[in-house]
This record gives sequence, C-alpha cells and structure tokens, in this order.
Amino acid sequence: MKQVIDPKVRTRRLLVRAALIVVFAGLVVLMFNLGKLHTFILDNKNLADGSLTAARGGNLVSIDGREASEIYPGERSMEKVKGQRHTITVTSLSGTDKVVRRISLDLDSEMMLVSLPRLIAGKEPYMEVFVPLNVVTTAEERAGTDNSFTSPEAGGTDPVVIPTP
Amino acid sequence: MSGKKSLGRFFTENAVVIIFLALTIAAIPPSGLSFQYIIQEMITRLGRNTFLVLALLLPIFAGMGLNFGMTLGAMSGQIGLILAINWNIGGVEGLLFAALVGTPISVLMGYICGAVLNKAKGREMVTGYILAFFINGVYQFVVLYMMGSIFPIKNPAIVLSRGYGIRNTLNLENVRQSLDDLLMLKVGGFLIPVATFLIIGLLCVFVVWFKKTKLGQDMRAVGHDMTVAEAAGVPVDRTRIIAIIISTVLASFGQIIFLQNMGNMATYNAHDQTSFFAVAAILVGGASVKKASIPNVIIGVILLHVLYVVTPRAGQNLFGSAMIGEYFRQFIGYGVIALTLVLYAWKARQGAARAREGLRGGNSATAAAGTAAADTAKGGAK
Repeated sequence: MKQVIDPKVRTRRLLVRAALIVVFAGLVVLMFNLGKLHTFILDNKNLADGSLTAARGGNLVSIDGREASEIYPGERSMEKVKGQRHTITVTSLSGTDKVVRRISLDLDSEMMLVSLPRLIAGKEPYMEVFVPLNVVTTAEERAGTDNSFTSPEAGGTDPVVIPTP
Repeated sequence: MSGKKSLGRFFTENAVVIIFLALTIAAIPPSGLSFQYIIQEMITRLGRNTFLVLALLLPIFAGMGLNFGMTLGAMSGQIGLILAINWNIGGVEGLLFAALVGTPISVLMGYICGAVLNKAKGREMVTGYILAFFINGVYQFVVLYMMGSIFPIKNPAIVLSRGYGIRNTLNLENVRQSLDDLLMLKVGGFLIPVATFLIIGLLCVFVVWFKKTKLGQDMRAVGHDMTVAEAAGVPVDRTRIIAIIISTVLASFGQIIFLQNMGNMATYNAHDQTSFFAVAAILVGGASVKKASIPNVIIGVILLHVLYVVTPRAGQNLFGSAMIGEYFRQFIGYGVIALTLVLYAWKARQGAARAREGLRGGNSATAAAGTAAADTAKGGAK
C-alpha cells in the first residue's frame, strides 16, 4: 500500500533537501575559493627596455607576513599562496625602503610573474600571467599515445617533451 | 577441569589476536628497531589507517560481514583528490574539497553496493569483493579514458602525454600531510598529529552515538536476525543499504586521510588493497564477521602495523633478505583473514553440534550454549 504523505510535510521535506543541496554546493565553492593555490614568481631583473633596474643591494620579499626571502638583482624566486587576496611587502636589504602592495588575483590565474622593480616603482602592470614553455614528462606515460589496449606502465625510459597550449 | 575449559575457550575465542601478538613480540628483537622508532611509526600509522578501518564497523553491526565493497568509497575519495589536484586546491581546504566531491559519488556507489548486496544475502563478503573488481573497471575507464576527453582536465601535470587519462602516480604535494600538520604536537620526543586523532575520535563518538539511535538499533536488530527484524517492522533492505552507504562514505574520507599522509597516489591501484588491509586489521584486533568494536579497530591497527614495521628488518637480519619480511607481511595479511574465516566456520559447526547433542538428551546448559553459538554463526552467515 502506498503511503500518503501530508502535502505540508512533503513541502517541508523538499525545502529542507533543497537547502541541504544549496549548503553543500556553497561549501564546495567556499573550499574552492579558500584553497585555490596560486604561484608567484618574484622577478628581480632589470626591465628589458632599461627603464628600471633592480635594487643594487637586493630585497627582502614577504608575502602575507610569511618569512621573507632574500632576492638579489637578476634572481627569481617562487612562492605558493592560497586564496585570492595577498599583501606583498618588499624591503630593501639595507632596510631603508619599504613597499607594501595589496593585490587580488583572478580564480583562474595559476602562475603570476611579479616584476619587483616595477612593483617598487609603482609602475603598472607589475604583475602578468606566466605561461611555462613546456612540460617535461617521463616516458612511462608514453604507452598511451596510441589507442592500443596496453597498460600505461608499459612505456620506455626516455623523457618526452610536449608543448602546452 | 572447568578452569582448563575456560582457558581453552579463551584461547579459541582470541586465537587470532594471541597468534598475532606472539608473532609480533617474537619479531621485535631480531628486527633491531628501537622502541622509540616503533612507537613513532605506530602513532603515524594509527593516524593514517584507523579511519579506514572504522568504516568497517557499521556493516558488521548490520550483519553484512566485512565490507570488501569499501574499495568503492576509496575510489570516490581518489576522484575527489584528482579534481582537487586538477584545480590546484591545496591545504586542508583541498582535503575538504576532495571529501565534498567524493561524498555524492560514494553515496551513489554505496547505494549500488547495498542494492547488489541485498540481492545476495548470505554472500555479502564475496559479492562485495567481486563488485569492487567490477567498479574498479568503471573507475579505470573514467580516469584513464574519460578524464581529459569528456571531463576537462586543465592541469597538464596530471594528464598523460596523449592528452587524456590521468598519470599513474600523482604527486599530492599541495595537500601532503596538511591535516597531520594542522596541529602537530611533540610530546616526549614523539610527534602526534592531533587534528587527525581528533577526527578519528569524533568518528568513534559518532559510532557510539549512532548505535544508540533508532537507526542504529534497527541495524543491530537486522544484524541479529533479519526475519525477526522484518516481522518487527524494521525495513531490512533499506537499513542494510544505509549501513553500506555510511561505510562507503567513511571509506572515501578514510582514503583521503590515508593518501594525504602518504603524499602521493598510485592512481590505478591505490584503492586495490584498501579493503584487504582494513579487513586484516580489524580481524587481527579480535573482531569477527559478526562482532566488532572500536577497541578491535585500535588494537588491530597497532598489532598489524607493528608487524608490518618489524618484519622486513627481522627478515633482513635473520635471513639476509628484506624481501622475506615483505613476503611474510603478505602471507600474514591473507593468512589472518583465512584463519579468522576458518575459525568462524569451525565455531559455527561446533555450536551446531553442541545444540544437536543437547537436543538428543545432553544437559540443558550445553544445549543452550550450543544454540546460542549456532544462532550467532547463523546470524553472521545471513
């Protein structure tokens, strides 16, 4: 015998279930936003046009109050950060100058190149999207390049370079 | 005489734990490992594995035996982790994201598993084991062929060079030990991942609380006797499906905790032996197909992993080859499952024989004990 459910109960049940789905989706989005990792490449090189040069003595760069790293002229350093809003603090190693910049990133910006000379001088854009030229993969993955029914483990040993889009 | 009998009974009932304890104690001195090292390893492995083993409890309460289908949950957790790595989500948030993504998948998998097991009442364990192989094929198809072709994968570091399919091994650098390191305390020279243990503690509290709820009581009633439970108005099939769904979801979370501790993931076979090791651990702890508790889980994880830590070194020192110890580990794992199942069947037969003997005119106490033992065995086989 089919059980008859009171329409009020059915509506309430539906509302509760819909609310649970919304909360679930909200949590997924929240975790995505909070946990999204971005990579900063801190570049302390002179600009190609010669208009700006790196600070002679080098800089101490700290992101979000973390331990600062020393970056000397001509050097690059990589930092991973979580979330979209960050504070970059650049202090000259002599301790005389200090620049603080607050930046916000797009969700889809994975790797950002930050030019320290531009950032110190306040010259926009001091940040641009960095696209790695290629990704080197080991040949263990190569067996899958054809459509034969083989295991991915059955590859050779030499590395394969594939271009990224 | 009665003292001898009760001692014999104690040995019979705890044969697996006693054999294991003896083997472990015997293997420690030849291994040459310090107690400091063994204890630190135990703390790490308790944090890594306990959640997965706890996932086995509810199906045992519901009389469905050892849930070999928990592999389905492990696969769901892995899909969550693959997506977290794909979208570059790290830290504890990355783990929570993976758990959230894995939850609906594991609920669906649990439902399928529960529905199939309801069609195979009395053969749940072997059905679950074979079902895991079948779903493994589906998982391989999704991960090896559909990811990157139908489901877009934007992280080139995890895609096979042919453009679709996920690589054999994934580096979980972004989430590596993020839960363990969330609250790491150093007590007396030992590093204790407090956050991981808190989560395990919460799950233990949940299990204790759940047993007292209406649903928990229904599960125990179903586990004791399905026919009586059905007659009492308990929706047997639905209750069994819920037990498997909860177990599968917990296995999904457990696999995520396990993998974040390991720091990398063998995409196509990390889940292969999840159920096997979890089942071995709970059996080593003294559980049976019919009866299990939280202490069984804790004792089992400790005993099994002490043996896992010491045997390769003991093998190296005694026979000049660490591989002997590795083989021994495998042998112990399979052996303990086989031994428990054999002992269980033997006890069931003994109980039935005692019950028969009682009915033929033996004393009433023997008959009662025999009937009880036979009932227990029957319930477990259901």
